[in-house]
Amino acid sequence: MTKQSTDRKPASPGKKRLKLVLITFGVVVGAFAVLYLLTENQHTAPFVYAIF
Amino acid sequence: MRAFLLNLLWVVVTLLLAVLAMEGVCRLIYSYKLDYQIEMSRYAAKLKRTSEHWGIGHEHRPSSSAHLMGVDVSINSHGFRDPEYPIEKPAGEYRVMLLGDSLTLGWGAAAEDIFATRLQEALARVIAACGAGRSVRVINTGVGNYNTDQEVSFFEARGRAFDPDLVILNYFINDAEPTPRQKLPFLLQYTYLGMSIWGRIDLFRRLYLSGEDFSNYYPALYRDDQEGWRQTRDALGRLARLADEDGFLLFMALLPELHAVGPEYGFREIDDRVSRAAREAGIRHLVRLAPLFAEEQPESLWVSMDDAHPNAKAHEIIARGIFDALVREGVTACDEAVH
Repeated sequence: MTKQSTDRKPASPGKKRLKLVLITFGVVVGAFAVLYLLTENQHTAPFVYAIF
Repeated sequence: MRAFLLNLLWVVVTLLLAVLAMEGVCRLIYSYKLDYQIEMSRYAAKLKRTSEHWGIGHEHRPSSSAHLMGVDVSINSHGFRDPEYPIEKPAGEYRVMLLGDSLTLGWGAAAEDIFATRLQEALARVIAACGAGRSVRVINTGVGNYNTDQEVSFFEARGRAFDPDLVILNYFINDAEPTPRQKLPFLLQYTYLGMSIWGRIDLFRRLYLSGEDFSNYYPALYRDDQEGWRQTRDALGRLARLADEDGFLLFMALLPELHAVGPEYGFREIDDRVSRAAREAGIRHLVRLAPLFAEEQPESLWVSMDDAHPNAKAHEIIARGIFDALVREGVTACDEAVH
């Protein structure tokens, strides 16, 4: 019988980078999506302009 | 170290790509759906500039135009949403000057539907009957974001030169706000994503962190310790004194807050308060328009579901209310109408 190895191969640099890219993209898009949904159709807001 | 820098580069590139993608999505969404925050930001970027008069704050760029909130907005060489006319008043012309903010400007309504245009048409019919050589010109000086102090400052610096016979100060409940001084950051003026985030963070802060909505925000402006309200009362006094000095007739119209109209106007106490302040300042002609909306459903009067500016129907009611008040006060009588 051969001993089954439980050691995991370390992730390749390419996979790590892909994970980093996906997380970064997801966080940015997700944050905007949450802000958008929470402030959509808010017709109870007064006429206040932070800018001119 | 090299691996860290490489990862950082990947994060930066990803952020840039995410921003570009979201900018594209925003442009796509907002080409189909009118968004109040975006349209107001575009208005600021395309049609406004900083005024050289500190009290005025900002003003329209002369001879500019844009398609905003679904309608064309054309600004003449004087900075008004009007056709062209000279500063000097022609003989036989009765001039009416409207002072106001985005409601008077006619935000979100076509030029032919706004109360300034309807008032012009109604007065023209009356004055035409007074005889040949007589005419009327309604001058709409409304600018979005103005408060009463800015409107009176504008009148002192520029409006008087048009020599109006009648000035109508159109008062809205947020006119007791302090003068806005914060300009849209330059970079945000050109990105829909930037404008959207800028406006929505402000909205988020008001709705979720400050617990602010129209029902509690407006009354807070009228506390005695509020600087904006003090400036408003001061401005009313300045305008009333100018009316005495220059000899023009001064009317004040209280425009309703269109969330709160119905059988019992939600801001009647504030209207009472503003009316008292106007009378104390020396303004004798006052028309309160909220009662004209008692039978109306609020949503039926709005430009859109997230923008409670008056639509064409609401403008028609406002025009009728002001015109009827002018008739009651004898302004439309021929001997009054032309000096």
